[in-house]
Amino acid sequence: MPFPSFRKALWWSGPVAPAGRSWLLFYGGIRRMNGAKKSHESDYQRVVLKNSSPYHYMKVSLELEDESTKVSAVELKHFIITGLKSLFGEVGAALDFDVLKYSEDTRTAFLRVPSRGLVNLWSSLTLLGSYQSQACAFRVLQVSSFLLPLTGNSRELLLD
Amino acid sequence: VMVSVSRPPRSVLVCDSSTFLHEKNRVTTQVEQLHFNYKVSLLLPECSSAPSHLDGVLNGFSSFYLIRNLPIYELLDRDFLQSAVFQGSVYGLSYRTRIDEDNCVALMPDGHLVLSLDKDSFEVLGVEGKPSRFNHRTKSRFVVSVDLCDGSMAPGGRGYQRLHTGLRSRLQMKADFLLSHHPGGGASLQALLSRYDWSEHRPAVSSRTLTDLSCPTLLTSDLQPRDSHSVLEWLGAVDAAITEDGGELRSEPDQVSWSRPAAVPGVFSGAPSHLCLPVRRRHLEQPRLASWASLTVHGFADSPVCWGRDEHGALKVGENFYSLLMFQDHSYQLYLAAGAHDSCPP
Repeated sequence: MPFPSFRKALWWSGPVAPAGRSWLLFYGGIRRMNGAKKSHESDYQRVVLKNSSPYHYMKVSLELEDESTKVSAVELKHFIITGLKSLFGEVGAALDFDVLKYSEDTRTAFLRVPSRGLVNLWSSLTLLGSYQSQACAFRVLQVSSFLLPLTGNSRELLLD
Repeated sequence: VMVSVSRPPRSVLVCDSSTFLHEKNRVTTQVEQLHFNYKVSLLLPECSSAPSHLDGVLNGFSSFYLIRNLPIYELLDRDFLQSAVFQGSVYGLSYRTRIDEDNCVALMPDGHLVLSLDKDSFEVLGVEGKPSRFNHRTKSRFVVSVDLCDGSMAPGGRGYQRLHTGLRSRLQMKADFLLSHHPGGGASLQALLSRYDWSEHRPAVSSRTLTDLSCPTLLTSDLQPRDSHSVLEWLGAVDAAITEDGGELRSEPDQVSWSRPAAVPGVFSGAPSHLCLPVRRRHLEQPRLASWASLTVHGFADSPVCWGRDEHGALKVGENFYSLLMFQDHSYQLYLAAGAHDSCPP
């Protein structure tokens, strides 16, 4: 699966945010109270990042008319690229998205897409209506600017 | 030229860094403001055997109850108020109701009853409320927030009667309801449970050992705010068991590590912060290469409140979670995330 190597994943060296639409608030230090030691001033740092996520993550499942059809991860990615191409042309098909995780049994995938490409990817998934000449539909189960929420969706809590 | 027709949904990420030794550190206060938690997950790098020293804490979460078809006015029952709500030992929220479609209810540990209602239900209920912050123009959803511990809501009083009749006779609101309690508060729920169809559930602890995961030897000083998204992505990839392909991982060949993520889904309030101390005391104080641990807590996507009593909604996604990275030198990094229909975390 295409996932950046550890170093790239942890030490993000590219742009922090899509240009022009993010801003950053910065508060450094704690206001000195009576008697507080000066060394404490640098002990606290709070940074608020808005719309700063370089990627968005989607959890999608592919529904097919014939439930027994097998779709591999490669076929799934190719199918999504076809959708992007038919809607946005060659430039759209060049969107650099990743299939992070895919389960063949449920045809459920975790996709990662650069934030600026989210709307394009989402719209092309919506418009994909047939897979190998059978009716199909992508269900977008969850979208987030973080990967963590995709593993902690309370709507999946099933009791009894 | 391709033009993006719309922006991705808004999101906010707050990154706090400080140390537990700081007398004014706010970690506990901050994380306890996320009242309705769905899942707690813990990642302990370089922990090869089962964390027996944490078993007690992980299994110590209270059980919770699912009550089928609970008429919401039952939460205003005098005995229930006296024995449970006024004691601050009980909390709960409606089950399988969606904040963007259905009427949702939350009973908070501080005695606030919060109802997120569609316009029709709100008008039928006839109790003071205000339009949802997130669609105030269309006024299609309203939020009613009542402090049950307030004098004006004393059982028998006018405010109490109005809400009680509204819920019982006018709106006749019913919902499947998840009810939980702080340790020792279980007995106070028995009277209510005896009147309805209910089932008891225990948070199920699952843990696995990851032998091939090379955990970074992180230090607080290494972490800059611009790395936040990368750190959270890495934690997410571990949590989702996404395999990596990086050959670079093997850059320190003599380092073999085991990491142990544990996950506990259920209904909690405040409780996850009780994990911090044992993790710091019993896990981090042993010498290790990767001297840190992370605790991630996911809130309920369909809770009407998030971060204190602030309204919560779901636009495309209702994300509310926090990740706490704790280090051996007692410093910490706290990441608090909020989605488009949330206020800024505390």
